[in-house]
Amino acid sequence: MVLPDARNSILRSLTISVGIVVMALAAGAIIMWGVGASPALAYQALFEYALGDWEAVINVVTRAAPLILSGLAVAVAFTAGIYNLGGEGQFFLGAFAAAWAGFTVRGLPSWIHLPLTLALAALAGMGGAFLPAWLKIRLGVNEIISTIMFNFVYVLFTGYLANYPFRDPGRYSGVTFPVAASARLPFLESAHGINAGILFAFLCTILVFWIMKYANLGYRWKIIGLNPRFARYGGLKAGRAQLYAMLVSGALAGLAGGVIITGTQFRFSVFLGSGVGWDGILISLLAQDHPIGVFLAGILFAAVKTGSLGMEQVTKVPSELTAVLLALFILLVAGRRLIALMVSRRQKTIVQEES
Amino acid sequence: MEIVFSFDTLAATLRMAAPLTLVGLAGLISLQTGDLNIALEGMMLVGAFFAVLGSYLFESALVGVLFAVTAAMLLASVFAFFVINLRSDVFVVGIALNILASGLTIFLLRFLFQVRGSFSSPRIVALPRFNVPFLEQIPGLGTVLNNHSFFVYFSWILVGVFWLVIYRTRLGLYLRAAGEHPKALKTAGVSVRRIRWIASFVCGALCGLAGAHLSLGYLLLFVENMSAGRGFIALAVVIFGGTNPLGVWFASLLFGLAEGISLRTQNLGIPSEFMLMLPYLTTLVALVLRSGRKRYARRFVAQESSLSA
Repeated sequence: MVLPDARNSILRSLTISVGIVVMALAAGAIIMWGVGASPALAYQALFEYALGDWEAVINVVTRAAPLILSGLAVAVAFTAGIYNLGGEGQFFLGAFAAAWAGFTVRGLPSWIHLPLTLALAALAGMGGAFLPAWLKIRLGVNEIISTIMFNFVYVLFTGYLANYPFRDPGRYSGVTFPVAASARLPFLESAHGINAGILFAFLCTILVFWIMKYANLGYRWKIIGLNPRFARYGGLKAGRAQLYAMLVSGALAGLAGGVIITGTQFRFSVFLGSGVGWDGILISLLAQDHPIGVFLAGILFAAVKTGSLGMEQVTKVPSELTAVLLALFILLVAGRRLIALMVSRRQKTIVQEES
Repeated sequence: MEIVFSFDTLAATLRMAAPLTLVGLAGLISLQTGDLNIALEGMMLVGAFFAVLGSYLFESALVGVLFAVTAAMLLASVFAFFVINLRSDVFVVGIALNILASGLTIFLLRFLFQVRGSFSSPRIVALPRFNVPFLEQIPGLGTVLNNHSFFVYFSWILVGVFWLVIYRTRLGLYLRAAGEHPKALKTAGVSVRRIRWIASFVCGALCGLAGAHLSLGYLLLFVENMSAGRGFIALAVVIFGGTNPLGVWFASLLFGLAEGISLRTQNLGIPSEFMLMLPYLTTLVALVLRSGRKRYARRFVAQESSLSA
């Protein structure tokens, strides 16, 4: 839900996000205290491990790149009013496609091999999103259910590929061969090991922002997402615009997988990523589907995730606490949005009967 | 082939269908009042965890079930408060609760039991099982119908109860009206909010029962994210079953068969990944089959608008 005035909407997203962070931090402190840890110590550890030194920052930035792409994937679909919960499956398809292109194609220079690898990842994710999108637009199959079902199918399918035809026999099961050096993301800063993933994620953010704000397609997405009936009366073909939204969304989710393979993991594994596709939903909700907000929320999310592992080491508070807190954020955001809505609605209901 | 087409497979079908029936009825009642609750998955998961916790702490299956139902109903009341009272986005609240449930159960698993992945203990008491002595005399029938957890039989009874309540009582009429024509209900002097709250509580309780069946029915353990998409399959059960308790029952038996076959064929030499896909592929096929019918299309449109509101 983006306001017409972009600067205004970024500010609004930011203030809401910051306000919610403070509220959830308080809730987190209560839970930490409840499990017998010192909130001050835990938060200190969380902060230090997330942003304490150069190494921590690199860690966060590297981790953020796929998360941002995954968040953008969700944001694009949600903006167009189509709920792509299939990011996780599309992420796995993209990761496998990237790994496959990385270890089968040999002898290409990096400037061809790497783009080819990422393009295949995007295509695979796009293909994964095409099926539920087509089922929804042609047959009216509810995409919330179908994308979740396709998640299981795609994750199992790539698991099969990694366990049988493309398994590296030298490794334990479910791991493929490593990608060639020519298909790996270059380092932006080789002394410390920041790879180009974050730059790539930033470029994608700008591209999505541009589409949403200036392109005709983005305008159609917004209208359809905000008010499908109005869009229909205005002569907009919702189906086609939503199909494109799903394809872009799937491509971005696939790219998240591609970036993880070419940037940090180098091998596809069935244990890949620990829910990057799901995290994208959280990130997009946190950023209220705004691309720039997604970029910032992705970095924040990566910082919280990195820091929570440090917190676990120091204070024995399980790192999953952050998942609980982030879910609370989202609930608070949903509730908070409504506080404003209720005020404006109360005035409207005088004229209009509430439904 | 003998492994697939056997009495054991039918028994597994009934076993796997029970949680789908329970959550399907939960989804049915939430859809009836117009609040499509996609947090079924999370409520079921929380139910599964708290069933194990209660059973472990008190060495009693009954306490486990009470824990499960209470926890799932608490989550349902959060859903109801945000969706009904605060009028938050149904979809966003559902997603947030699913993430909350997944994170919370893993957090508690690690904090309370200091384990990752799964937890089991000899202290956990299973749900009681039933045997009808004379059925054992009949070959096959005994294997299929006997020795199930209490909830398998209970889910069949509930199907009948739900049918009666929804189509033959005043409360059922209110429930249907709350979704289809809330204004009429209001005019009749009934609080739409209260009806939707009641539906949410029932929905939570059923998800709690289904969760308890998952963790205390047979294996006596809790596994991270053990609901494995069943909350979403249950939504497909509701759609495929034509939003009718009997239809929900038949659909859940069909989907239970897919799960049963998937369970029984994992050691056949076919890569297990393909067998594990079966329930999800069945769900997709069922959704596609159902989509051809006009009545479903109309419901879908109604659902869509309730989602995007």
